[in-house]
Amino acid sequence: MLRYHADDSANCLLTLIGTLPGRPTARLDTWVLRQCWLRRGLRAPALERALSLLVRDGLLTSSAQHPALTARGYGVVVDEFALPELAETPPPSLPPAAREHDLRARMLGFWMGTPTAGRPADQLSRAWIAVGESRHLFRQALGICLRSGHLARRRRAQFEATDDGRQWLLGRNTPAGLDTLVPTTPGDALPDGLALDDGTLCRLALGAFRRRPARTRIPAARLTHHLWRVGVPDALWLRALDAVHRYGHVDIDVAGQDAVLTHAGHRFAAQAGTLRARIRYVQAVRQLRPRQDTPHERF
Amino acid sequence: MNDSDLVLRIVEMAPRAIRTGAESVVVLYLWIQLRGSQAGFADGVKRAVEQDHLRVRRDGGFFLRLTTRGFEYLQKTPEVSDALLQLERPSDNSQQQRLVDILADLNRTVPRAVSPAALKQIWDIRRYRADELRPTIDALIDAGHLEMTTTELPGFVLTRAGRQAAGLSAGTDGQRT
Repeated sequence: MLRYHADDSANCLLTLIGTLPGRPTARLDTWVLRQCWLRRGLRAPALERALSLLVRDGLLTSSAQHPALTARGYGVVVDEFALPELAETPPPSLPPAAREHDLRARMLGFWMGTPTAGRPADQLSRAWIAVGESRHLFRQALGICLRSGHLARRRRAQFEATDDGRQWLLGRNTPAGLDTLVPTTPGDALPDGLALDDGTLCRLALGAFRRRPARTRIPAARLTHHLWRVGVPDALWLRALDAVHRYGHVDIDVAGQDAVLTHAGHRFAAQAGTLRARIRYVQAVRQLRPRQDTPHERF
Repeated sequence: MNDSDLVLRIVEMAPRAIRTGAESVVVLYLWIQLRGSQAGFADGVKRAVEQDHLRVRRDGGFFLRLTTRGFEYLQKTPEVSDALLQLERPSDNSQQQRLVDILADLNRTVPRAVSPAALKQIWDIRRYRADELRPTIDALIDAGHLEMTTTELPGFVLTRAGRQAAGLSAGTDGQRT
């Protein structure tokens, strides 16, 4: 069978439309299409080109935000041409702490490139399913982001990235294999009502460098050890390591299992921060139960 | 709305990937919810196929997919309200009873195995919590009311005990149509 178009991005878009869950006669949501497109590792300009080609050829109606398949377009999608296969990325199998971290990243990814946009729950839910995520994890992922303070619910069931969420989106990528630096044993449950924002977690983690001020390079295990000592529940260690790396306070070398304090991290640890940040920090530390006993055998 | 038009409309509205088409057992379930029985479904499908509005695909199960002509035809016929597919969610039934009710609806006339994917779609259509399906299936299997067919394609069927519990005639275990 023939490929429909000489431009393969148009063929890829037709494949994508064919795999979307939905009604064939209903209008498509360009934002949802875009999320599916980007998560398959395809580039945004190619999507714009593909959309305009399909509109030009009469396979899609011309509405910019909500195009719909025409009868001809439907015919091409379902059976007239061989369409390229698109790579699927199945969710990785991860230990619980890493899974939570991964779900947060997958949900916050919907704000990548548009950090100030408000997204209604039903649109997020459609995108979540369209990109191949499990339906039953949607509420969980949303809950994780709300609890960690990266997302907030606004009026009319719209979800927005908070200041923390926007900072997170602007930050560096999580180093591959970061979860291997965190013990995988079942850890402390997160106490009810304990909410630690990223800034507080970073301050707590950077305390690991205060014990030996002359050293800016320490074994990465010292970070988790320190978090354990100050009473941060296990469930938050991976997020803390990610936060100090993401915001550029610490360079974490997963292979070398080292953590290096950066100038930015040094400044951040030295500054008292805003009054609001200080209050949050003090409130958080009061809820933690510092460990004074012998370090746990896993260290 | 005549039977073939209703079949087309349900196929168009049933949840699935556009290219794949809707699993026939999911379409049948929706038909039963709308019409109260299975009567007229087979004739409706047959007529829609004869009119070249619908194609039956066999791809690890039976799938019903609109043809291009069926797509064009639907653009000209009146919409069925989405509310028809927003089935009421019974609040007082246990999870196990909800699953038995779904399978009982599909098994009133003949024992029919329901694939895990179709069961999941029906569960979603009923707006039950997705994470409760698997434990409910496990509980019914443990109770001896449900089993997985070992012939042909994997699918769940009510056992003799399950059929009795659902108020159906006992039949035989593990039959597939």
